[in-house]
Amino acid sequence: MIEEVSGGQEIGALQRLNERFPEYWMLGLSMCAWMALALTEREHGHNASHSGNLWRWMLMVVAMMVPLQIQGVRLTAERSLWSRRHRGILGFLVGYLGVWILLGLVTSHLVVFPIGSNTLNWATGAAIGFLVEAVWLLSPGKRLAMHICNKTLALSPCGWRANRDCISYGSVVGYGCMLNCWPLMLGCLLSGHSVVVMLFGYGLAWVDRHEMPNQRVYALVAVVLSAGFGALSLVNK
Amino acid sequence: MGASMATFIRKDAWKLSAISTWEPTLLWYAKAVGEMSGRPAKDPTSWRFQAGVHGYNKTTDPFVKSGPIPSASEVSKFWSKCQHGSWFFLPWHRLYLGFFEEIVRAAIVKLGGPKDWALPYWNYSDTSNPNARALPPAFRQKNLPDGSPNPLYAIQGIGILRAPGIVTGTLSVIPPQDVDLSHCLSETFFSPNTDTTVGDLGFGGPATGLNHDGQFFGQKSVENVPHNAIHVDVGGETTNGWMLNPDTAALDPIFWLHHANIDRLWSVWNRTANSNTDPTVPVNVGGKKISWETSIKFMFRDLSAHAVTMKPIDVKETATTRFQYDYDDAIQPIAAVAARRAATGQGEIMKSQPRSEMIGASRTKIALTGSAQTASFTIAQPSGPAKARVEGAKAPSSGKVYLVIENVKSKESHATYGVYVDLPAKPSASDYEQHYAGAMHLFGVRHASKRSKQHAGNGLTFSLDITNLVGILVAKKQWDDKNVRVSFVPRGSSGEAINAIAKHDPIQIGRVSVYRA
Repeated sequence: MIEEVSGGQEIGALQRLNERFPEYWMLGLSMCAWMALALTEREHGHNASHSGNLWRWMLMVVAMMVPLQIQGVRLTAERSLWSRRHRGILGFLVGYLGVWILLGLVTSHLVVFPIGSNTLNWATGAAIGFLVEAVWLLSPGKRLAMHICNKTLALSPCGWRANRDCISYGSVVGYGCMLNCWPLMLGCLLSGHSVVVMLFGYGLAWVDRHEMPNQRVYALVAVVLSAGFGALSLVNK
Repeated sequence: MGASMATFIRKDAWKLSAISTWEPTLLWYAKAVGEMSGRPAKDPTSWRFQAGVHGYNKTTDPFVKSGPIPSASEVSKFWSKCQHGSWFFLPWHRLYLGFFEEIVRAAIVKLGGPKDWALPYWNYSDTSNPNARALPPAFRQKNLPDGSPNPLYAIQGIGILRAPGIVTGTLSVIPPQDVDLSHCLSETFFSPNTDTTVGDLGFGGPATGLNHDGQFFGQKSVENVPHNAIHVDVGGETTNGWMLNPDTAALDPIFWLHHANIDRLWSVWNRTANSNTDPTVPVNVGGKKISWETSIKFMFRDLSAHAVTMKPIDVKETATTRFQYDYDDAIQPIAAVAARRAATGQGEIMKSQPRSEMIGASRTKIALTGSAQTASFTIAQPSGPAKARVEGAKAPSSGKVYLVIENVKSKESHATYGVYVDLPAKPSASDYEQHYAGAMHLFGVRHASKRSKQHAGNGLTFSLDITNLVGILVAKKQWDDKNVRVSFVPRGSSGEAINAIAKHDPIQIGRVSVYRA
């Protein structure tokens, strides 16, 4: 293997970070989102409002889904002019998050009633989400959806077309990601944005993205998680 | 070389053919193909099962009426597993060939043949053999010496579909540049140490995870030339022959000799210099560290139908590992490369790979419909990591320059286009020669263009190293450092540029870009 150099010289750590890992600030945002979710978990609880739900939904997407987009972000940076590669990444994220915001606008309204009225406790919500995930994993559309996540688009090099293309690219990937992961996100939402449930959900999404697991085994894991949270909800009663 | 340590020696099919068209190694191979093709597809030692491991699609299966395929679970576990556009291309195919060779050998022994039979290879790049680029004669005979049908020509009564010129042994069907090893064998590293998809992608291809969806090809990757080029030439750009399609390629018996040669070239490259090593350091691919040696396991059915799992590290060597084979000739054939390596000594340290940056790209898509097309676009001076290299250099063309052709898609056409930089408006034959950047070999493009359960539908992307070409243009004062023109010219059957060929469905190019490193 070979060492990274620039201009024939060894490069500094920050320069190396910027050149090789242009996604660093995106990952920083994601960490901030995790912290915000953890710090506000108790305040949120079961007194969710529409706007509160939407706000936490977006935090959840930034925390859980954005770190899974390193490949798309690196590709965007690599295919952009050097001077505008971070702008390209921003465009990608705008497109990507735009899709999730649309979904959040719908779901945050739909789940206010069961969460707000205390008819659904967090563990039951998680159990339902993971069960839906297991069913989705075994459906024929899942693998097709997975490949939309890996879609690439040709990007115009500069001007408004470049911004448009980066946003389009992000939205295409976001759409694929939404198709792939909606049951996991539903589970997290129904759990009242429980950080514990989100960590399990993130783990499953990471494995699905990077390991291409056997879908049946993976579905079994989701069923076990569903059963576990289901049992917990009975105990909590 | 380690030939003395190996139990099995893979030999040059053309050298065997020089002894006799039906030299025993080739004759026994033909008989084994006949034997295996008579077995049901559910049998892991059958011809259809072995071909399905590479790829399968019911719509293109020429044997679809010859009996059922294995169960859905078996197909999911073992079929359509070939690795392309990836640093796993070489190890996966080495494993694939190893298990296949064991199965063929067992069939040969069962038929009364030699216990030390080994898969021959097709050395189409052998400059000492004027016929090297023609298909070895055993693959062109309709009958075996006893008068029975030749399974290397037709399997179970179904003729193997190949380009017409290939069937007749016409040399020009495979142009010399398609078997030119000077790019791949002069490469100094196996894979980049990042998950970059542009620039110099090494001898073995880019670092990826498990990757059935081949996408990115570097000019110095052995997968690009000769591998992809031979697939297209043998399959025939307009014939849609078996070798053209990853789902039918392994049904053609020549597929295995072609891949034995690709595997041999890996051994040749490894032996050229001590620094030509396989990857040992994990690479961060899309946020996950992947070790080439151990992160990914591949599963095959062996000759006893047992499921066997192996990793690339298990086949870094050929003679001392499970398959115990070597080649009769694994010597670097490019004299200049061998001499340069000898001069620098065995302790040569692998050169660092500079990071590349995009300096200009086309703004619109390009559709190739059978005639020459040109894309013009502006380029800028580097402002990132390549800036220091360019500014500090005396020569204007210092550093590396790459031409990247992105998201090449096609529904049907596999026509090969030559790529030219700053070609004059009315080019002469010598202009074509001097401005030549490389070619797009579209093996697998139909798959790569279609979104499915196995593919994202991104098409193919090629990185051509145009450093030397730009250097020549600069010296001739023909290089404009603000604008670049890239021409795509269809290639005739003899490899020469032609202005127009029969109309075919468009080949779409998403973008053409220039990178400096």
